[in-house]
Amino acid sequence: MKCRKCRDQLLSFLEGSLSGSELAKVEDHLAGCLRCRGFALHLKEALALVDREMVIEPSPYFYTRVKARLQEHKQPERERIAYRILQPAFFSMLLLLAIFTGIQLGKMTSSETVANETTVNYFPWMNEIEGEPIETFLMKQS
Amino acid sequence: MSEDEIIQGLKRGDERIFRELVDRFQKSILVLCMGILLNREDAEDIAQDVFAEVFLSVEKFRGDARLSTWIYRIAVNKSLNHVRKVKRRKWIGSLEKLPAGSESTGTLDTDLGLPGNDLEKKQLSRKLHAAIDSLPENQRTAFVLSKMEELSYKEIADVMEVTLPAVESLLHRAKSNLQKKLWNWYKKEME
Repeated sequence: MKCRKCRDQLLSFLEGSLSGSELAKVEDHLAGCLRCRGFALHLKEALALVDREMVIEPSPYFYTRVKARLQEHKQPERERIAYRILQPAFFSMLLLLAIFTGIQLGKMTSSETVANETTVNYFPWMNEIEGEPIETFLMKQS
Repeated sequence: MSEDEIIQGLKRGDERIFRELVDRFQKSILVLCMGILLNREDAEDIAQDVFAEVFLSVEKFRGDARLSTWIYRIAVNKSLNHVRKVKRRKWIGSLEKLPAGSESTGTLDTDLGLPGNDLEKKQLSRKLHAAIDSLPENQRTAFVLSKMEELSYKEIADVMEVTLPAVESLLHRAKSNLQKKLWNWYKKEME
């Protein structure tokens, strides 16, 4: 067996998943090749490190944090629903208010115009412009 | 408690059953997230998110797969999304901050909780993390599910929603890539 072929099978060899004949070939090669044996040890150490580092224990507050996370998820959901309902309701109310104010203002303006016209028509003597001009008045005085 | 009882309990919003589910799966989900993310804090964060999602979306669980498969699937998806997000952020960051030619360290932890004086092991650990980090997403996921979760090929296929031969191929390529990377480092050290 060549070094390259042996190296390709080293992970499977170390995991113990090689079959009988393949296993024997790798073992034979490792017995005679110092470099591959060194690499096999390096790889074995690396795999042991994977087991040691990656297999971690959860913190004692794990469940409490999950519960807090659940609340975080629920909160925006509630807010989103409230936002979805309240926002259109608010804008509808605003629109209705604007329409109502518009109508009221319209009414007030038209009644003021009528009132002005009435004042002019019914009390012409109160309208000083249409009354006696100042020049006439002064001439009369003199 | 059977799987069916857990699902029904979760659908009712039973907190006691949810707690039991968390107790039962927290370690394996944490290890799975750690294997993909290679960072303890991120792994804890994502694992907590996984359980919150399980509780909130249990109504969507149709029962086509086992409950554990469904939970693993959520964990894998969330972890991979996080890896993508981190890589994207790092890539953008590297464009803005790092000098040209700087190498990204991916999601590597620099302090891995090893004894401080064990420099050689720290170096090996960094190399190994970098090697795992450099694997394509699907190879990394298959490797982690096989090596750390010790799932069978069938279970890995179910979680990843791929065929059995695809799992075999992914694992073969993952191991081969890891060996090549580690061999190159080993060779350089020996020279």
